[in-house]
Amino acid sequence: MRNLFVKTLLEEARKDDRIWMITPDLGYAVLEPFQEAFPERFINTGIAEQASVGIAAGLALSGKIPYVYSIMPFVTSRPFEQVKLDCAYMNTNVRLIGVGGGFAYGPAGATHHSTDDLAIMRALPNMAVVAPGDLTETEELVRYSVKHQGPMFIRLNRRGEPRYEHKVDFGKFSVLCEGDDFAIIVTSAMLKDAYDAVEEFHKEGRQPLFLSAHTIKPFDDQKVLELAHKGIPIVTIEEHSIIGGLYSSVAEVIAKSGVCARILPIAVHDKFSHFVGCQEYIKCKMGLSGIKKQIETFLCKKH
Amino acid sequence: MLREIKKDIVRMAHYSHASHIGSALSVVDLLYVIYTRVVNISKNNVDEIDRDKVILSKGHASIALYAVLAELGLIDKNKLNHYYIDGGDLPGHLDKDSVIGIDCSAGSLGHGLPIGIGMALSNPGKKVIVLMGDGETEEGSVWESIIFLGKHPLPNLTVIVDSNNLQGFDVVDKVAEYSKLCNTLDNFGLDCVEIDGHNLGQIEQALKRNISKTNAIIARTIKGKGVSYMENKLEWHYKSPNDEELKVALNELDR
Repeated sequence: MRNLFVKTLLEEARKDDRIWMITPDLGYAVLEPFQEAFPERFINTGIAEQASVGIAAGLALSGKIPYVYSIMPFVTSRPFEQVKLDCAYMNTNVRLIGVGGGFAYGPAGATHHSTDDLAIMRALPNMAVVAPGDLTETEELVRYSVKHQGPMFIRLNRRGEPRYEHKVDFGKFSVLCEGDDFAIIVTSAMLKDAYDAVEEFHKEGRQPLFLSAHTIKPFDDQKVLELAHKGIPIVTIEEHSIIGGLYSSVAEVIAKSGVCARILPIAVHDKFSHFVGCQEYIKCKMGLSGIKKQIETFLCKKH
Repeated sequence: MLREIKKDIVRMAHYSHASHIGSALSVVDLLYVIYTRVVNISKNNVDEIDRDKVILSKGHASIALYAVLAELGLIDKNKLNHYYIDGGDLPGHLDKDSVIGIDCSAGSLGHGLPIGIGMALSNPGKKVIVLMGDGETEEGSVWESIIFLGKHPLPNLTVIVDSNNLQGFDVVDKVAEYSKLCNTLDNFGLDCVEIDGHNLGQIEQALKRNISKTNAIIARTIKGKGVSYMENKLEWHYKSPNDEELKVALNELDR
């Protein structure tokens, strides 16, 4: 996903000289193609996250479109006040590229995990928040990001994502499969896990509506309301805290509407991981595995 | 003109009951020289993106900037009566969206220098001036920027430290090892000079130095400069003048 990001942005940068790349000293074996192609538009600021975001805002205030690239926590929580004031408050065209949503940096430990980024980013006025789940969404949203007005946060996984053919529109859920038994809304790299579960359901003749919420803000309120009005049970799936991410976004829309809806959140339940292991291992330990079973249990429950 | 600006500052602090008049009087001579003798910012180009830029990173000294911009006709002078009040136009700390001419929002310290670096990188042909407080240099983001500038000299960028030696709770000298700042900036690869921050000739000269590195200026200033009962008094970081104090201040500034 991160390599596709660089490849796509490089293509855009050849057409648009406003695009700059800034990294607080990360991106080894990823960013070199950009650096080689446009050394004058590439800056390694050193291990200086606050300055990276501030410099990006200064470039943006002068008409440039800077992309700040780092591992997720170092482009979100570490320089958060620069993100809030220099990017969001001043509404600058800064792009924050966070690599490694959730537990993508698994064995590296919780300093490198990210289960709060969607929550803190979507709390900021003006900030657009996208979290592509596959290569199609990555490519489309990176291309879109060049023309977006205002700051934008892009949550990337590391590697190994599939490519599903589907239509991607910023601000709208993508429909991967139609159905009306129940609805699965998934964001970011859990798309593959959800896809596999949906295939299993299909084998059993069940038809879930399968939606990819690659854009968390602005959120597709309309689609959520549609589901709620139809009385379709909703499952949200995210490699993120249950607080402030996809589940919260869905629940906020429903709570405001006054319509009653059943929701199963598959998310991280307000805990840091102290487990050691790869992304898939930690996901298992943190309640993000056995998706089909979790959904079946939810659907069987009387209410 | 400068006298009128200073009187505007005192009047604004009086009617609004806002803090930070001491900081505004500390920095106003610097701002005055920047806008009248150094940068090319006028009514004709103020709304353009490709022009010289000024960042008042110590955003709490905002009234000094408002008063200078109003005196130069860059913002409507009537706006000075709409500061820090309900339904006002000008907030206590700078908001870029409040009036045209504010190049950068500011209020939380340590934001201005990185943003100034970005502006200077973006537009090598234009001057960028970042004005910050001496207490502000304690912020980590300032040092991230200084380390960066050592390897990326930006001759179109000037960093001015308004050095009045008073910060929110104490004397700067007591909080940080400050006496060596000029040498330290030199050692980090900037070109630093110390001046009297109330001497207009020295300010202009320092700002117009022809150097190949980033220009750094430590401007020795006096908090509350020009009003005897405010000078070098920490309390004037917080207080605003009452009716009687206003009279005294306006009289002294008229001398």
